[in-house]
Amino acid sequence: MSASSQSNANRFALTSKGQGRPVIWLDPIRTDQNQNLPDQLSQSFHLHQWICPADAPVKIADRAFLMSDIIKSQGLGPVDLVAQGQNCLLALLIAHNCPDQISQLVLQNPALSIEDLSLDKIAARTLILIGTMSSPDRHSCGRALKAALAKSHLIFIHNADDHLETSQPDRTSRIMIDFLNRGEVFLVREQ
Amino acid sequence: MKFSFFHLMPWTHLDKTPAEWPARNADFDPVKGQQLYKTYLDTMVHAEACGFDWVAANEHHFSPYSLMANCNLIGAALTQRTSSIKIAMLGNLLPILNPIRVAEEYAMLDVMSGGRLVAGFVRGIPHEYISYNIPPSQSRARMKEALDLILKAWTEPEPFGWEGEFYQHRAVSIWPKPFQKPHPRILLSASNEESAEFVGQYDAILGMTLIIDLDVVRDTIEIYKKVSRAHGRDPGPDHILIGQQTCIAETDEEARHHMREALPYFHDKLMRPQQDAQRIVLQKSRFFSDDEQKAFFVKRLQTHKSRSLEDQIEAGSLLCGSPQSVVKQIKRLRQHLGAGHININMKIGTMPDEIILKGMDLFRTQVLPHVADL
Repeated sequence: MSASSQSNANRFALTSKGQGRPVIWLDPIRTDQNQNLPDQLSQSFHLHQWICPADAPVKIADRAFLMSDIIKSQGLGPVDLVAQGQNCLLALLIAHNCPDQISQLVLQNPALSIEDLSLDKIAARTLILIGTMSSPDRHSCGRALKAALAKSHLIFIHNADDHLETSQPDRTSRIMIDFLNRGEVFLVREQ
Repeated sequence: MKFSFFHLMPWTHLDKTPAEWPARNADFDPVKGQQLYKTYLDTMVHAEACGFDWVAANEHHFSPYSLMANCNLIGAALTQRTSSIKIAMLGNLLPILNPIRVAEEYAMLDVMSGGRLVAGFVRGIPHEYISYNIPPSQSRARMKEALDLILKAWTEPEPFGWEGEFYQHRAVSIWPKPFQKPHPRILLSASNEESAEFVGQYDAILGMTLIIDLDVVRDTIEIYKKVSRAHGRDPGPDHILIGQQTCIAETDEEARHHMREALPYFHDKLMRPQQDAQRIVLQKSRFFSDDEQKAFFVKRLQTHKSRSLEDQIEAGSLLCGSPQSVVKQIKRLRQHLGAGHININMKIGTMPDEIILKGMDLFRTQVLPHVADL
């Protein structure tokens, strides 16, 4: 590990639990955040969550660079990324920076502008989840991502709002776990 | 005002009342059935020449009450035999059907007709749920989820999946998409406050039938309008459709005579067995979310049947009389309910088809000119 990587690792401490396929939950741990969904994922996967320090870079691009560096330097990959809202941009940038390290992306109610993004280099299979009661801009964003990402699935979760994990926790976890487990065979329902 | 010519397509050859619902089909004669379909389709096609804005059909199962297990098949035939009249499916029994299939069939009808589909979705009547083995207590939740899914299927440009309570799809991308953009006009039925609130959540025409009290109907319409306004819409008369059994003849006496001759077959033979089935479903399931709604539904049917023909006309339950009388009755519905659309059903029980054709011509020449501009 290089000196800079060691430094980055110190600035972005990861907590890990569970066993199996590695998954990084990109939303930083906060005490006010619902942890039910990460807890459920940790029962099926080796789940990493990061702790955002006070001096973390403000710019998403800088955070993406540092997180990419950590994934490479700590040998976490190939890894799957799960993000929601504005952090979906972080996931996409990481997937762009190190395409050989990111297998799958789960983007929950993404809130970002895809203009100026180089999405064509992203090789990861991507699941885009949108709540049917989410704001129209989330629907537009999900639609645009589905059109732009070559290997993507867009799924609407009925009666869910901008907070999928609290408005429809069971449906969200069910579809997410199935996608992370089965990748390309996801289109065929098992049950 | 706008007018719709509705056909129920009843079986007219019952000698005795079926003992129960589902009605046994041993006596169904396919040759007579073929002739009925031909007559009924010819009549529906004729509605275009008579100035009707829509020609309409709906869906029923397991009963001589209606030979329309899938009204979309009738709609498909009409797309090829008419040129300008709207084709209104009023509608598909959404909670018991596969919503993707409904989205596809409606999209086909809209494209085949060049954008003439009015897409009706109804929760239906209780016993229909037995036909397709769907729990009646799930009817409202299924209705909402299926409708939301169909609207997505019609409007989403990219393939999508759906994760809901009743429907799960990993990939949906219908071909064709509807002709009309963003989608065909939709109509949702309501008979009580709860369903009126549901309809108000959507940009939809409110459809009401079996009127027994104009004041009650007006209150239900107000609930629909209130909810619509809360969602940023201001529905006008064109958003209110009232269903009416109708007989138009040269004189009041003649029209009432025809109606009196036809109604007993409708009430006592066609409707009788399914009333028992409805009662059983209402007793054993949560088709209605509370007892008040259930009681209202039962009372509505009983009241309607117990009234004399004159009382039914007075109550606004049906249109019956000379052209002049029917004009007055239509004006009253417009004035009292603010309804801008009447759904006219002339094939009541054994009503002779030549009487219906005569009534349609009287509608064109002596009724429509006096009410079209209301």
